[in-house]
Amino acid sequence: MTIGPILPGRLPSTMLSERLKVSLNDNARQLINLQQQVASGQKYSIASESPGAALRTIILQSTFERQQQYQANIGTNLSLLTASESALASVGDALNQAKSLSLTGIGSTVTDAERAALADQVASLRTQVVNAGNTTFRGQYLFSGSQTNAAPFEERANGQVAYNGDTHQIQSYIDAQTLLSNNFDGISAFAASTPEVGGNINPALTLQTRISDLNSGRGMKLGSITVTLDNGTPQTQTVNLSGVETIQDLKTVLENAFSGGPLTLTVDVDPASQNGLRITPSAGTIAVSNVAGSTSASSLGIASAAVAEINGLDLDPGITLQTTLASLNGGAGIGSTTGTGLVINNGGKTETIDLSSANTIEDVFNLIRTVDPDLNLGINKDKNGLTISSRISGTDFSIGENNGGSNAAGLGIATFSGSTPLSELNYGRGVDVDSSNRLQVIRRDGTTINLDLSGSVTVQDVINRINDFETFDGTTPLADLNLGQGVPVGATTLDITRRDASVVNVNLAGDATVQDILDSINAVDPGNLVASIDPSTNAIQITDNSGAGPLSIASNVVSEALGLAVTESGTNNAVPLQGTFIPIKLQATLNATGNGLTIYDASGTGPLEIPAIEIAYALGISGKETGADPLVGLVGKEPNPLESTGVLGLLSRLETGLRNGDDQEIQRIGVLLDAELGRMNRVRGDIGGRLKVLEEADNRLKDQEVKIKEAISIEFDTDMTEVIVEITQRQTAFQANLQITSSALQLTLLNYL
Amino acid sequence: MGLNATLSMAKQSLEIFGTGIQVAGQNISNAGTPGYIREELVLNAADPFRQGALVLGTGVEISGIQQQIDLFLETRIHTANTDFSSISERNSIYKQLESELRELSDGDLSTGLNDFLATINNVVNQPGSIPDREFVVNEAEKFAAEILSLRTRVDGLREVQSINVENLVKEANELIDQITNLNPKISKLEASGLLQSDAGALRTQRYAALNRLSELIPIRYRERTDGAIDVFTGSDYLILAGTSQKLTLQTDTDRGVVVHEVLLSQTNSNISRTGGELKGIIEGRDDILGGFVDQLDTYASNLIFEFNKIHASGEGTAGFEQLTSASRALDTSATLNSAQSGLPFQPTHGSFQIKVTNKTTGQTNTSTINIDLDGIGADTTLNSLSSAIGGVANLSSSISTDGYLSISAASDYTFQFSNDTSGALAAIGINTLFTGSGSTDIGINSVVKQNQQFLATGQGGGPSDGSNAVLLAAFAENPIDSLGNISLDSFYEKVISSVSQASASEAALAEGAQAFRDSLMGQREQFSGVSIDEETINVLTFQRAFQSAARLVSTIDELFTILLNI
Repeated sequence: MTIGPILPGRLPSTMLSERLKVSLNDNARQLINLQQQVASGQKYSIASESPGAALRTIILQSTFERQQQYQANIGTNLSLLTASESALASVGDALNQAKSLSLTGIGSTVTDAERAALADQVASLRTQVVNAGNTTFRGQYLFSGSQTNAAPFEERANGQVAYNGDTHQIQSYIDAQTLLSNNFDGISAFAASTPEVGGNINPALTLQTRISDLNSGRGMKLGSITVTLDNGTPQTQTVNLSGVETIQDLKTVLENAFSGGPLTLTVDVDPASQNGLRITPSAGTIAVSNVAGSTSASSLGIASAAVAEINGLDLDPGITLQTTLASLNGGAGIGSTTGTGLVINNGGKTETIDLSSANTIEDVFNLIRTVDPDLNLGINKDKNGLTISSRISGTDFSIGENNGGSNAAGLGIATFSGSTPLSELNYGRGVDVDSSNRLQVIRRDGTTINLDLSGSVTVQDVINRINDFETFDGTTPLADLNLGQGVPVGATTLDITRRDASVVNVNLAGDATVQDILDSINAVDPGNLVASIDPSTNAIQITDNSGAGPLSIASNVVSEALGLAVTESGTNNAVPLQGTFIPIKLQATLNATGNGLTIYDASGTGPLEIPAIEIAYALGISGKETGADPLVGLVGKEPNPLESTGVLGLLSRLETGLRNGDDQEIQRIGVLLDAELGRMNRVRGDIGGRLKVLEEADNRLKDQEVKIKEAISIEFDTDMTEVIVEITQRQTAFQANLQITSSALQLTLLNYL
Repeated sequence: MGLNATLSMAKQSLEIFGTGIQVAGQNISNAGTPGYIREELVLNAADPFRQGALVLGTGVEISGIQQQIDLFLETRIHTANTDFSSISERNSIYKQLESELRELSDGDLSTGLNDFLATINNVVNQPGSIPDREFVVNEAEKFAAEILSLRTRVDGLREVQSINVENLVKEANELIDQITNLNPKISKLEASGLLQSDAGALRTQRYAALNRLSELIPIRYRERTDGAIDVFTGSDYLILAGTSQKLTLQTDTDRGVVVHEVLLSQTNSNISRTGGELKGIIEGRDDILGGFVDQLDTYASNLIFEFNKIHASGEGTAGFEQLTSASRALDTSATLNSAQSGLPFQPTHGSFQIKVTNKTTGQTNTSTINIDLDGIGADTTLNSLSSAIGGVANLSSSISTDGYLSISAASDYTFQFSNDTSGALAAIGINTLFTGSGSTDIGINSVVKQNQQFLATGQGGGPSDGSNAVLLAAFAENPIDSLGNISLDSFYEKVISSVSQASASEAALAEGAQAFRDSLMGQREQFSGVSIDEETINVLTFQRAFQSAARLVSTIDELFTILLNI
């Protein structure tokens, strides 16, 4: 309340007393206000008294409340990680002891009994590590990922240990928007799984593909694009794609935009590339461009000047659980699943998985999981392949084909194939092909051959070396081909569709050698249709300069037997139609079922034997096939099992090695123990790092807490000194006011009458 | 002739000076009467007469008793009253709203939200901890109750304003009656009056009534020659030549509260927002409190929908065997995002996934359910959604007659949801934590309340999978399109800051209006107030004059005695 100005004129006493009342009221109000500040300790009790400061206070108070929670989070995380660290410390001790036991147990001076005792010690170390892995803290298992209600490690027969958890990281906020994991799962802490298998299986684009799965699962954010159809009169539409979720939606929206005609368009997955879009106008040309400020058309790979048909770029769709098997490998699928499937060797058991009922990746996972629950099944980070690993330590793990199928390769999860490097075989010990060792084969005709495999890098190289052992030239009798099964030349003709689209039916009846076959073909159109022997392998090549179309040979018993049931779809005659490999009497292939190599020999009817020398052993093909059937081969064993090299796996292997007195194994494990010890130290270092991060965050939060409190105090808390000084001043002013007014009021004429 | 004339003049003087003392006495006795307007005896010399060459005076005569009032000032005071009362009401309503918000204490909504988020953070730290999960549900319930309670309190404030309007209308009508009654009395008293302000006390009463009326509603008045006044508000009359019209109430409902509008009984004009306390109260009720209620509703509905959207895409530690939606559709054959569907929230084009798990084998099959709302061809309705869900192997779905969606799994199967990009699950109330659509009906889904396992903290992992909880804990910081791309947190801060800014500026306005009114009142007091000293001097002056006139009488008496003794 304010006191107005005094205007000239009379000053009635009623006015004086009114003004006195007002100023007393004013003084009293201010005093009470100050008094309230002292009593409550707050500068204001409702925000409007000082909106700016109050709002800052409200935000600071809210920040303070949040930070208190972050500090609570950090406390929880610190306790969980500290407990993890102390559990892992005992694992480090166990590894050190195991290392010294392995050194003690190696060599010829140790007796079997001593080795058995050492093995027992290793077994008890393993139990100790399993117990450390099953540590519980704050009511949960520390090392089980998200499966914190169940013990993560389970000891099984033969020293195997199964991990029942997952790889989930429990993340926690240690500050606004800052997450830190407070757990180590069994796989990252104990390396309790085999390496992951899975390669790129390039899924094709389908109408069901989601926009968010494109770009290897990174997705894209779509806005508007401009589409122009032109068949004389341009028709332009700006189409908003922001609500579009799948390729089907995209198709619907784009087609709908032009549904009013006269020109319409059709959107589909480009059948040529299977990984991009195709947009075809009903007539004329189509052009697609970005709307200013947006890159949607480019992102979708369909930005284009006017063309008759837009063939979009590769959109790189990522794999999801719903991806169909048929769309994998660029739409080629994974091969027939009828009668084939996967062979998975894990935990000492070999299981066959029938995929004939599977349509999607999820179905495959469900089928695998039903048969073998001890596998981690997932999709890789690039979203272009699967990742599969075994959660059993101390055992071999592999995935192979069943019954000659291609499902494992199609899913990219075969652990052994032609391209497997020899150096990886036998737990990475490799195959010693470059020393003077030769692969010795005692053939069915009783002869012994020594194959030189030197220079081989991959399994396919070894197969090629064996297959190329016999010379394939013009003189090779047709009867020797195909493991002595020959070529049924009289059965039918070789039907060649030439590049000019004409068909010639070459009659091979009576041909006895490879040269006869070549001659028969070359006689058709001398100099133009030319058949020759591939100089690098056992195969026939055909060139034809009759035209610019594809060159193909129809599949029949003759063409199959000659490896010529092939289509050369290119139009360049410099590229020959390349026949496939034609085995003679000695052939090596990958096993039809499971992993390994199979050697066939048609040289006689005796047994086929490969002595167990190192190189044969390393390739898994040592052994003897005693039958007489040349079509029954010597089936090799798995040369490339995967294993967990974590502490549990190594302790299991070491125990087995000690019990078997296998010095080579003990030595191998000894080296791996060192590596594992190093890894374990890194894990502990990682925990230490996180603890440090937490402590730093905690310190920072504590500092901030002090600063926030200080800021709140400055904005919100009463400054007592100031207020008390002010109260004193007001009091003085109040008293003076009272005194002066009362004396002024006493001044009245009545006193002098 | 001279002596008699002088004697008669003295007699008249004696009477007049007596009256002068009476007027001063009246002023002195009313020195403490609020609103009293001092009166003054207006004297002037009586008409002279010619006697021969002389023109002689005939003494003094009274022109009348005049109220000392500045009528122009009075009009200004009325306007100032109207302005001040209106602003002052608004200000006090702002202050009441602010004290309900309790924003600077621990009982406010932002603390409630922080407490709720804190419990989610504890679940993020240890997603498998059952007590921590229970706390989330409890704290969510508490937070919902806080929003409900704030809404109830603000609604209560609004109801009080409606009662204030009723009282105010009653008071205004009484004042109008009073003025209507005073008008003829004043006219009658002043019928042969001299100065048009003779009926002082009645006029003072009328001025007081006008003054008070001007605080309630804006008024103008005009005095007629007979001393009666006409009163107008805006372009409508309240009192006009003996007729008057009253204020009447018209009852309505606004945002769940009974509200009144004020009309005039004869002309039916709506004067609710023309000014004065009436305007202040009604604006306070509808704009200030009503506006806050709208913002609180926006806050609550975004809270519900945004939280539920994240929650609906997550998985609890157990799957559902049977689930009924928390919200219902009014028209199950209407497109989901249409107003006819009657859903509390509107989903967008997108999809969600249902995972059906066989409890025995643990095998999970995921199906994608498309929510087609692109406006092209047939769009998704609750009916088509139900049949799409029913089409998933081992699931069946139905819609109750009152529009609730019910999903159940075949025996030995459970189902869960994920990746809802459409918001359809949140809109229908499937796999949600909060229920309701705004601040009046926010609640907790009984499904989660009865079983914390359905708190969707994970995204497909084991019991300690907290991936979804991580998202839930940060939900208040996510920008929301419908709020203009700001987060729920910032929105709330914005609401609070706009309330306190508006409140502060209202307080400043009120202070200004009051200062202005006070200064006008001061001027009025300066002009019309009673000064004791002045009146004392008046009394003394009249006393001395009376004494002189009395002496004049005695002098003339002496002269007559001399004459008679001749």
